[in-house]
Amino acid sequence: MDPNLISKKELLELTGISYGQLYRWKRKNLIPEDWFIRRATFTGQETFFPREQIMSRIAKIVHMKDDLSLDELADMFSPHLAGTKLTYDELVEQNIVSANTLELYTKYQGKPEVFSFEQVLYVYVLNRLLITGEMSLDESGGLLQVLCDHYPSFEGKPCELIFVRKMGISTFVLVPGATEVHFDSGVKIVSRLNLAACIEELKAKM
Amino acid sequence: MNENKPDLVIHGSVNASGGVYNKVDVQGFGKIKGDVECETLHCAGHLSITGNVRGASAKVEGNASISGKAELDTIEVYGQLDVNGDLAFTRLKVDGNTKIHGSMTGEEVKVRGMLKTTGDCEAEVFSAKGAFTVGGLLNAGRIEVHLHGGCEAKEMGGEYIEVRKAGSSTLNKLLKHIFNSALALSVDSVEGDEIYLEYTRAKVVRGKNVEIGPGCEIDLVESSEDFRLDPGSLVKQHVKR
Repeated sequence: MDPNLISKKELLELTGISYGQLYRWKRKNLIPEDWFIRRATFTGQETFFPREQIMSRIAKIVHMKDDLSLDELADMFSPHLAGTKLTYDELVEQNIVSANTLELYTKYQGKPEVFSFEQVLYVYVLNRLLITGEMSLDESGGLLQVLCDHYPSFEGKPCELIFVRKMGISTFVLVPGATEVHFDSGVKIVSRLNLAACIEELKAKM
Repeated sequence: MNENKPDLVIHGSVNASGGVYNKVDVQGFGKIKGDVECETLHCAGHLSITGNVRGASAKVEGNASISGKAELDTIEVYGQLDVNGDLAFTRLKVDGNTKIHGSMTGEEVKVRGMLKTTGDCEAEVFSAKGAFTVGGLLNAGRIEVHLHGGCEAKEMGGEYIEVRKAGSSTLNKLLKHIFNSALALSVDSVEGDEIYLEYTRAKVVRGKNVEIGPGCEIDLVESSEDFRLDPGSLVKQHVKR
């Protein structure tokens, strides 16, 4: 069996939640439909989940369900972009991104009056790759270009950003969630970022 | 009442185009081409809509078919409604016949007639005193079924699941002839916290407290707390965990 998957039964045993809770959370869209992976096993058909994603999601729900309603939680986990708008100063004050990153963003994309959630996301991704030191300043133009031009076309569907280098040339790729991508052996995958997870982190910060 | 939105009233045979209406009332034979947005939709005749439908309430006493998806707050079906796409609603009452080629999501479902959906059915409360077929997962906080006809679902899941055989009323005998099937529920798997089943054929039943009433045939029952079994039922294997 694939070690990255966890069966429904094992999940319930490990987390201590009940079938009722799991189905309720699914109804409330706290757990996305495409995490329910149906596989045939020798006992018939069983449901599996991506292990790491579902474990961290359930830990978050259990942790936060006393403070937030299920609908509020669903908003937080939803990959759809929230309608929030922030100004340049608010972004820096709330410590969402550093002033340097914002400076860089405005150099490439101009300084908007207010940042839409989408734009905040782009800055956030930029900030993250710069902080980890995986990406150089010169490469940020390419990153912002692929995000600005192509991220909106996913319309909130889960997608992944892949950052690769070959012979010192960097490339950014946006692919739909859970797609397998193969490169030739000269290519080094520098970073893979799940944008839905980034949105989640970002919503928690705002 | 919104003055800007016209009413669309169809008597006789009319071809109309879609758009934003206040009231759509079909008494005769109507065909609407294009998406329809309306406050109320009433069909006492025959209506076919080529497009999607959005509205606050719908009442179908005749025959209505929608070629796209539908989003309606309250839906009452006394005649026949066909939706060739997903259906979203707050309350759905089916006294007639409803067929959905897609998934349905809403708060409350009441079935006294016949409901068929090819995809999943999600609701907070699902109560059925008729027949239903769910091609995918029937997921509801509370599932209450009184078996009046043949009921079928691929999977059932929720907090509280109760399936009982209906009393042998005259209506029941009549329905039995009409639907021409045994009074039973057939389902692959049932998973929930509190489960009570009668006259159910299932491969797996998993839950916290599971009670199997008469007339069941179940391959495997897994319960974490209580398990009770009626002697008139067959459970091939029971596992406590």
